[in-house]
Amino acid sequence: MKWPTRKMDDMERWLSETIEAARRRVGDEVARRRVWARIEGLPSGKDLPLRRTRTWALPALAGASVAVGVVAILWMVPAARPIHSPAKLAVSSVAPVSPPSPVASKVVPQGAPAAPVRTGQGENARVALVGGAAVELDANSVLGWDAERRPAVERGQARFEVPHQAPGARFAVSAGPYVIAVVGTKFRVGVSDDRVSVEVEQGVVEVWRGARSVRLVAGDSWAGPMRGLAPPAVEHRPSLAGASSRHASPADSPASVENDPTGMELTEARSALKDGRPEDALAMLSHCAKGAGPAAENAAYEMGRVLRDGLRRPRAAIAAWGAYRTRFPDGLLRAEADLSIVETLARVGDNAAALAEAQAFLARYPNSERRDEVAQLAARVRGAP
Amino acid sequence: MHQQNPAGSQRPRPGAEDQALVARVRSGDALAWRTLYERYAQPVFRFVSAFGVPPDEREDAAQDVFVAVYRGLKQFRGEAQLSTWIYRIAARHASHLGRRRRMRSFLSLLPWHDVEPEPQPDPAEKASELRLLDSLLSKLSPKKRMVLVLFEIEGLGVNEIASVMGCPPNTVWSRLRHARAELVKAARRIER
Repeated sequence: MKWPTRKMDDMERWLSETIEAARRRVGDEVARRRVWARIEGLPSGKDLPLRRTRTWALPALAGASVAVGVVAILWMVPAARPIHSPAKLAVSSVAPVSPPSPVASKVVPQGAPAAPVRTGQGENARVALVGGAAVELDANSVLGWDAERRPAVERGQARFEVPHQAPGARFAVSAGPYVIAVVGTKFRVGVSDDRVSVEVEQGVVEVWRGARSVRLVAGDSWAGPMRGLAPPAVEHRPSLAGASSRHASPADSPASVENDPTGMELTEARSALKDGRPEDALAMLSHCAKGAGPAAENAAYEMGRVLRDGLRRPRAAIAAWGAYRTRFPDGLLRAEADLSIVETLARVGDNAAALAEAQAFLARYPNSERRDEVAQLAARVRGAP
Repeated sequence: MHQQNPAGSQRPRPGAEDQALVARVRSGDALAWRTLYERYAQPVFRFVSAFGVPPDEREDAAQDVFVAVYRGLKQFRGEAQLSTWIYRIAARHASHLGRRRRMRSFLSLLPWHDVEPEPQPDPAEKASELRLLDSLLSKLSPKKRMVLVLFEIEGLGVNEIASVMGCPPNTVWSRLRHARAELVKAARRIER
């Protein structure tokens, strides 16, 4: 920062140095790689990635307007101010919800996907699927099965409850040209003549169309154009039947399990790690790393992070990064893997190996943005007893 | 590939090379798309970070920016430098996210609304100074923050910033002067 022409004081010097550091801010290379994994297919496809919207905005704004109105009225008429908590006032201002009307309800036993399930006016249906998943069909809806024998919402609204799937396994539903894939969650799917909509109540859902996807989390909703009712192309995501004990064959289940080598498993692994399930995350990453492309490379690198930070197995993490280096000697995350090995070796007290790795890093990447960091670490390790 | 700008940060060199790159991406060249991404991913991530997008939203923000870049390449006529154009997209998107975040923050004050969890710091940014700088920058108005970030951190020239923000260069100078003064003032307040 080159602002004051007079002599800088300590604060200005600090600001200047910190802004200088901000210019050199490297950020998370893995995050950049993850983004690349999501957008790399853009030039090859005509469809663009799907977008998501947050459902909270409109109800929240409506709630805010009501609250502002209530507060304004109470402020203007202080004598009439009742001794209610704001929460009670807010609740009392919301229109009452009518009790559900009695409707006919069908329960379709699991493993009977031959004929579509239809509901008429004032009717709903609950369909049990293999693996403990269930779907509730609203009135005037149709649930069928597509060519892959996945549940397919053909018309109307359906609410799915999917128990958590085994690592690497995924439950998929089709809706028009889209595939909605989940690990374990509750979500609603709506299909009308011109659009498909998805609302997520719990967990994480990915909506796919061809090679494009959007990731939705609880509270998100998304809608996409129908553009015909042809089932989505799935050739880029071959079935993984047999890859997991929970995988169901098309013959016995309407719910098929799919593999997405372009990053979905990575997303799920991150989600599992966030939920405090590092073992599941590691299993997903390990599965993903066996594939090819950027997602496999990311997964091979991230296995080390999960082992070190999630499972507290630093030696295994070093081995995982070593495996990454062997497989991707010129990979985009090579420098990150090298650096992670240096840091982890120092952390476990293997100072000699850490120093050797640090020196190799400095020799290999003389212009690295992380050079100062590694040099400091090497100096610290060299000075350690 | 990169040039050292007056403020010291590295950013992509504009010019014919970018034009050729854009033409290749438009023709569906996947390698060119990757080159464009690798050239601009770091500036975009750095910009959204400095503009206050929380760590857990940066990936989505960067993805949205690059999707918008890809979508808009057909309309890119080369009248501005590619970097300026990408910064303009990133600035618009970061501003949009900022407005959404402020609205969310306002709504979280309402009694029946769930309190928004504080964004977790990016583990890759160990330096507490950078976090403190982010906190100081958050005290500036969005326009002043954008000018300061683009000038001081991204190293854009005043004319380029004017083009990104769609305002006259004198306005940029004025916002920059005020932003610097307010930043120093905010830092002194914390010091005390």
